[in-house]
Amino acid sequence: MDDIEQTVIDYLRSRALQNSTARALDGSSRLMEMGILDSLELMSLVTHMEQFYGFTLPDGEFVPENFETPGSIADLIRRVRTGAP
Amino acid sequence: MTIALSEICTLSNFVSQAATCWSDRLALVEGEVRLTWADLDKLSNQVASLLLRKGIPKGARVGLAGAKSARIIAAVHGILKAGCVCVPIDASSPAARMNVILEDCAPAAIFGAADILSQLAVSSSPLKIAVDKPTEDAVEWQEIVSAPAARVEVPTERSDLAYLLYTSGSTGQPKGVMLSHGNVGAFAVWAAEEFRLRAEDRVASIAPLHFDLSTFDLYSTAWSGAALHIPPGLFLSFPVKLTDWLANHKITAMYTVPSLLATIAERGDIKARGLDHLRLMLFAGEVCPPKVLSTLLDLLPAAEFANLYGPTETNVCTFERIDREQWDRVSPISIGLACQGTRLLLIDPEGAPVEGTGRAGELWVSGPTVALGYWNDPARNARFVERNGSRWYSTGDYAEFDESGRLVFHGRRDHMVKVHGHRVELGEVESALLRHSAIAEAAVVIVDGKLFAFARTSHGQRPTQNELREYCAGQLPRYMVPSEVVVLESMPYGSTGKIDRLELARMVKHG
Repeated sequence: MDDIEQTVIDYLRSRALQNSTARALDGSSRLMEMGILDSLELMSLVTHMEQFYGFTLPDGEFVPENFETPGSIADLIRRVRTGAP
Repeated sequence: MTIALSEICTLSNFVSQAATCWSDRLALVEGEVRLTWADLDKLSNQVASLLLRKGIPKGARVGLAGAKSARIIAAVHGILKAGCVCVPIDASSPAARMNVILEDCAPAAIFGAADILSQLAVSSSPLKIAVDKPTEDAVEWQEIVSAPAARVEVPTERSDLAYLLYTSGSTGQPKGVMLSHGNVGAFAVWAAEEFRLRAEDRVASIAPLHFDLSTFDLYSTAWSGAALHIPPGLFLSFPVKLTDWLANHKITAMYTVPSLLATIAERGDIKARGLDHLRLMLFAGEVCPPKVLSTLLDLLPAAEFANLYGPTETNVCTFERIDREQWDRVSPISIGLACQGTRLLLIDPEGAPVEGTGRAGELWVSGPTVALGYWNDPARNARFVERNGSRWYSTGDYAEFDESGRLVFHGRRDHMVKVHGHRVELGEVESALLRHSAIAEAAVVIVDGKLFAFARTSHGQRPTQNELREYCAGQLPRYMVPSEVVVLESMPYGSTGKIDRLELARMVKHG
């Protein structure tokens, strides 16, 4: 696990509404199925990560497959940051 | 437009009339499911037959708890045909809150997803009907569709109750707004005629059924023969998925909240998708930021936009068609003029009407869409007032008339706020926090669309923010759970001894 993935997990833990789910959260947790990400939380996550890492998420990357797990979110951030000017 | 409101039939025969006029045209599209008006009429008759067979009487409340689907919508129409009252509840809220609502309305039956039905505990022991998969103690959907489809219409009057829509209550208890067949029908027919909905239209079903916006989706389409398309629920969270879906389904009309418009304007890549078919965008539920509307006017140069206004208690009572030439793109969007048959009054704090332009007063509304009152709540019914021989609803919203005679919205007189279009009484969130044994005092404020709670704890107790948010999540829908809960040693008070909410909001803004 790298820093980005850990940052994503820490953020989601701080937002989780159940301590039990927050504790169980790891890089491969299925976020939608666990009820951690709904539309409001998703928008907060995206805004937070854009500010924190200083990028703008391309519209086409804002799709369910990129937000399935903390691992896939970390992959997305790495990809978008590398592509950034 | 001249539709005499007295000619409007009850909601229970909207679908059968549509089936007579547009039998083979599409009525509902959800994934692979495609129902014509004849199919929907038949299916809703089968639902109504089941309710009658099970002895559910006219006027009984029937709950709906599950994701929106063709089956759930057929159930709504069937419930109304059986002369019963629809009570759609927010199935994403915690079971505790669903149970509070069901306890209040004492349903005789509930249609829902099997997983949700199993969480409900209601003392009225309702008949349960599982719409998705078989489950213990519930009637299967198969039993409905295998029964004969004889036409069922229990005689209903326009004054009969059709819907209970529960909204946030300031005392901590959600309140049920009673809408009659006439209330909903008057809005649905007005909207269909005013915005020239036709059988060729394809309408996106975005609003959940417990939201009054959904009455446009169900009944304005039935009035005009338009098809209703239901997107997968997940797409509402992903802007480009939604705009792709809108393009693929060639959606021509939609009615939603400005929060959703903002996400598709900012992140929906509308330019690449075109959305050339979209001719009508109606929005309501909260103030639309001028920037969002301005962006959409550019992205959708041929579409007509209208701002609709009205609390659930009046459904839509005023509207403003956006004039692309006149609106300067920065001024607040007017809430416009009264809908057909609606009268408006502005009332000053002494109870006298405010005359002329440029002076604000509380907006009172009278007309065919004004609700019957609140369910089981005589005290709150004081908001429905007799004046000069008419019945009025005092909205709690402040507004003024501008020089063109249009209404400009000013704000609330109380602590009701909007979070992504959802109506939230701050008192309901505070009540949830105060049920926690460690909390002695609580106040919630809204800053930039997010809820921030402040709590003073009892001596010696120190619950964490996460513990308090989790505690709220056990009682409140997600959108009502505060983004942050700040535990304070003492609350700031104003000169009157009340908690100083402005100071709390300042604390949020200055970190």
